[in-house]
Amino acid sequence: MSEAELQQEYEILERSKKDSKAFGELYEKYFDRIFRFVYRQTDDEDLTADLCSQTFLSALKNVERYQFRGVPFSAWLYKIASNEVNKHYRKKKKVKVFSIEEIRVRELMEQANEDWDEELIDRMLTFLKGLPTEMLQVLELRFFEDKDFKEIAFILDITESGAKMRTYRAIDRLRKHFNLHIKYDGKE
Amino acid sequence: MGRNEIRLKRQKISSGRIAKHRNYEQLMELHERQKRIKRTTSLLIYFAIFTILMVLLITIIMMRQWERKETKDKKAVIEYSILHNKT
Repeated sequence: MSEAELQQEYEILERSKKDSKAFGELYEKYFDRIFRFVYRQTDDEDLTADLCSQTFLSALKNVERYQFRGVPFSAWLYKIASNEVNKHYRKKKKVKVFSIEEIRVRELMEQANEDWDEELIDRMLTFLKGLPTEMLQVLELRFFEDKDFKEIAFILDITESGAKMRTYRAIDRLRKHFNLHIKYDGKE
Repeated sequence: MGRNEIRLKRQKISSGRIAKHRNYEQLMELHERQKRIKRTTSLLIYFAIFTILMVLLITIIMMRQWERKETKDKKAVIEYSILHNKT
């Protein structure tokens, strides 16, 4: 995100603090991204709509207290959304779902220089199933949401070095299993 | 380990389907309703606190009045008995 974009967003936020209608611009801008992020963790459209609604309501309620902390505003929304999802699973005492789009797995597989087949996908799914939630979260944010470590750290409420460490460990496992040629910062 | 369920989605959820759930007006309505509920709840809490304080205040005033009356009565009894004892 460029400096100009950050500045523009900051101005909208300042207006939102006085007039909640101004928040609509940010809602329109980020709704789809937050929806996809939540949907990936629920695999339920109606539940996702509810959790998204809760996320934006919470953001709207607390926008007056929002302070810029070196990460884009979207990171704050992701953090709220992540908390809403965790709250839902805690309340329902259900196993957390991670739904991954085939196209994303395909992208990863192409990086792996391996032939694309169903068996490989199954192997990948089994591998992902074996990963702890913390690692799945960083992988999701790093590779599916294209977040940098600073944002990941902010969203998951961990340190930047902690985010890097988790990603490194997850990628190390991926490398071992799938011959991935990928650097741990996510760039080839 | 293995605490999560991993599902493979053959297709991405379309923007059209997401758009069905995007409704800022509805969100604003919800926000306003929540604000109203919060305001009413705060008012009710303030009113309850005020009522409790008033009841306490009135009780204290009544207790003091009763105590004053009691001491007055006791004094009168003592004075009366002193006067009668003298005679």
